[in-house]
Amino acid sequence: MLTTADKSSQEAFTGAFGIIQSQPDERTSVVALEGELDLGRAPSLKWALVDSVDAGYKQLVVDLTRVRFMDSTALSVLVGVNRSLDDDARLSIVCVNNNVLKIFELSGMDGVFAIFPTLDEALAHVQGNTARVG
Amino acid sequence: MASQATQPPRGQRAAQRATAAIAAGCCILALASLPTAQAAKNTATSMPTAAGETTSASKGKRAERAMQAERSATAPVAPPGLPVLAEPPVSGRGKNGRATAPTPGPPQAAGHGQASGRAPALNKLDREKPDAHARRQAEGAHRSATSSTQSQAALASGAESTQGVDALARKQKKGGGQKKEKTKEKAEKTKEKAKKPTAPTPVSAGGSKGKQASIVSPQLTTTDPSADSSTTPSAAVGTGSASITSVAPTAAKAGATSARVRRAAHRPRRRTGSRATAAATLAPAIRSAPLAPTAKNGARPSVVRKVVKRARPGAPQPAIVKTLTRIVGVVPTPVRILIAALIALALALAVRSRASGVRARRLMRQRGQLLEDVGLLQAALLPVPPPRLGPVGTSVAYRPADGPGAGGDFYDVFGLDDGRLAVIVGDVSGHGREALPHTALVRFTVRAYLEAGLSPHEALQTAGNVLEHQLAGSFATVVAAIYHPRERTLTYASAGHPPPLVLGDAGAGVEAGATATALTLTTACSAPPLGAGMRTGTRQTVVSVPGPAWLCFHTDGVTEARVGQDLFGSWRLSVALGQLGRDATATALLDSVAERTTARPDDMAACLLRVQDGAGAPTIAHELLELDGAMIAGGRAERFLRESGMAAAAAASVLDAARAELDRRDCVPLELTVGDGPPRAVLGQDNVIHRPALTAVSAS
Repeated sequence: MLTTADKSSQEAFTGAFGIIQSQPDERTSVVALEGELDLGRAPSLKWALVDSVDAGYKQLVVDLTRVRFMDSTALSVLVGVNRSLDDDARLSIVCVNNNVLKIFELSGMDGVFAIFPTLDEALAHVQGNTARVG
Repeated sequence: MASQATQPPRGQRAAQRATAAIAAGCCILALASLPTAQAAKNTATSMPTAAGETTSASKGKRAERAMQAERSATAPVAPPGLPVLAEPPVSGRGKNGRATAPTPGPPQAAGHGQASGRAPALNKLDREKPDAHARRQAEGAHRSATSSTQSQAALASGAESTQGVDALARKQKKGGGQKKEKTKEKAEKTKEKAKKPTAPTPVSAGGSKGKQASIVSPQLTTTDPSADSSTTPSAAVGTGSASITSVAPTAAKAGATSARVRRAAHRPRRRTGSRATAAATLAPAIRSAPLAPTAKNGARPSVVRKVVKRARPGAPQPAIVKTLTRIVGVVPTPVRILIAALIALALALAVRSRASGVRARRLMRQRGQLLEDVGLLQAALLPVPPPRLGPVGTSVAYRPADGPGAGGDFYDVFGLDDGRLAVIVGDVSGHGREALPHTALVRFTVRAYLEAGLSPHEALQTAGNVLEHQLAGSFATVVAAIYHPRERTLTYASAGHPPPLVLGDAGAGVEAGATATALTLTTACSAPPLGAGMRTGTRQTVVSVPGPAWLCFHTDGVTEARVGQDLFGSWRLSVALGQLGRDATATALLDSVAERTTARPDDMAACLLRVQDGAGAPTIAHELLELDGAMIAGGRAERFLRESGMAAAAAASVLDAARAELDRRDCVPLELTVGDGPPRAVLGQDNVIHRPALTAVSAS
C-alpha cells in the first residue's frame, strides 16, 4: 500500500488535497483523490498515474468521488494518460460530483472515458474487460 | 607662506611645513628663473652678473644699497644656494636635522665656533651678512670679481662658517672654469682654512648639523684636487648635501670641459639666486635647505647637469609631492593603514557599483526587448479588433492568471463576406511558452477555414484532422462562431470549449432577470477538443438573436475563477454582465469578474459582441449533431435530445431510427429544428461531415 499525501500551499482557496493509491490486486491500481484538482495538483495526479503505469498495472481506476472541482489541466492529464495506455490496459473514472461531470461533458470527454458512479462498477468495468481480453 | 617662513619655527612640524613649502617655492622660483638665466648665459664673465641680478632681485629692497657689492658678493652667497638643487628630496628626510639643527647646532659647535653653526651663520649671511658681508668683501676684495678673491675675502672676513668657506670654494670652482688653477690654489687655501673649523666638526657631529659639518670637510679635502674625478667619492661618502654633490661633480667636469662647467655652473647659480631670494626673506626655512639633499643624490657621481635636469622637470612635482609627503608624514601609521584600507574599499565599491550599474543597464535593455517581444507575441495571439464590425459592437479582453498559469488563451474577431462576423476563442492545454506556438497554430488554422467559407463545425472538424499530429500531445479547446447580421443568427461550434453566454437585453441591469434571460445552451454531446485523438466538430448550434443581446465568448478561466470554495460559474458571469448594462465591454466584464472572485488560477479571456436593435429574446433555432454508436450507447444522445426539449417518446423513436441507420454507416447526422412547437428531428440521409477524410488522416 503506497500512500502519498500532498499538502499544497494553495489551500487558501482550494482546501486540502490528497492522493491515496491502493492496489486491490496485482493488475489493478486505484488512485483516489480528494479536494480540488487544479493546475497546482494536476502534476500529483499525473505522477501517481504514471507510476502505476510504469509499475505494470493495466487496470487503472481514478476515483474522483471526493473531488469537488477539476479544471482543464487535470483533464488534460487524464487525456494524456488515457492515450498513452497500451491496448490491453483500461482506465475508468468514478465520479458523482456534478461540477466534475459538467467539466467532462463540456469538454466532450464524457464519451472518451468510462465514467461510473461507484468504485465497484468502475472496478468491474476494468477487470471485466481485462478478463474478457485475457 | 612668507609670513609662516619668516617666523621662527614653533615646532618641528611647523618648521617642516614651512621648509617644505619654501623649498617647493624655491624650486618653482628656480624654474621660473631658468629661462632668464639661460638667456643670460653668455660667457663665464657674464655669469656673475646674472647671478648678481638674481641675487639682487631676491634680496629686493635690502639689496638695493649694495648692488655693486653684491655682484662680487653673489659668489659667496651663491654656494649655499646650490643645495637648493637637492632641496626637494630633503624635505622628507631632514626633519630632525632641520628642526634640531638650528638650536643645538651652535652649542655643539661652540667649541669650534662657526664651523658647526653653519646654518645659523648661513641664515645670517643670507639675511644680513650677504649685504654687509658682501659689501665688506667687495670693499676688501678687488673688483675683479673673481670668485677666488671673493672666497679669500670671505675667509678674510673671519671665516664665518665652514659652509661659507665651503660655498666659497664651490663657487670658485664653478665660476672659474677658466681659472681652474687659481681655483685650485684658492681651494687649497680655503681648505687649509676650512680644515681648522673642520677638525672640531666630527666632535660636534652629534646632531645632524654635525653631519653636514663632517661632510664639508671631506668635500673640501677632495675639492682641492678639483680636477680629479675623486671628488665624487667624497660626495658619496657624505650623507651628503646636494650642494656638495653638485659641487664636486661640477669641479670634476670643470676639469674636463669648461663650457660644460659653465653651463653647469649656470644652473646652480640660478638656483642660488632663487634660493637666495627665499633665503633672504625666509631665513628659518632656508636654514634647513642645505640639509635637504638625500644621500642618494649626494652619493650619485653624476654631473651637475644631470642633477639639474632631474630637478628641473621634477620641479613642479615636488610642490604636490611634498604636500602629500608632508600630509602623509603627519599621519600615524595605523591611520595610514586605515586610510589605505578605506581607499581600497572605496575603490572596490566603486568598481562594484560601476559593474552593477552596467549590468543593471544591460538587464533593463534586455527587459525592454523581452517586453517588446512579448508585446509582439501577444499582438499576434490577442489582436485588437475594431470596436465595431458592421452593426455589431465588439470588444475583447485578456487577463493573465494570478499564479503560474498564464498563456494558452487566444481569441480573434474578424469580418467575413456578406457582412458576417467570425469569432474564435480558445485555450491550448499547457501553459507558458510551450503553449504559444500551438496557440498561434490553432488560431490561424481555424481562422483560415472560417475565411475559406466552412461552417464553424466544419472548420473545427477539419482543423482537428489537420492538427491532430501537430499538437503533439497537447490539445486545444476552441469555440468558433459566425454571426449573420441580416438573419440575426449566431452559429457556433465548440470543441471541448464552454459555449458562449447569450444574454438578452431584457435582463440587463436586473440581477434576477439577467439569469432568467440568459439562454440555456445544451452541453450534452459536446465535441471533444482538437488534438485529443477523437473526432471533433461533431456538433453545431444556431442561436436566433431577434433583439438586442450580449454574445459573450470566454475561456474556462472565467467560469472557473473562485469565489471562496465555489466556482464563479456561468450564472455569476451572466449576472455580472447584466449589471454592467448596455455599455459593457469585455474589459469591464473581466474587471468585474476579478472583483467578484477571490482567486483566478487561470488566464481569463473574453470576447463580447453587442447585438442591437430588434426585439425578442434569443432562442436556439437549430442543432446539428453527428450521432455515433457510442453516443447512443452511453445515453448521451438521449440526454441531448431531452435537453433540447424533445419528449421521451419522440427521442426514443429518433434514436431507434438512428441505430438502424448506424448499421449501414459509422455516423448519422441528426438535425434538430427548434421552433414554436416541439423540436423536429431529421436524420441526415447523407454524411455531410466528411468522415472519410477524417478516417484517412487518422489512419495515417
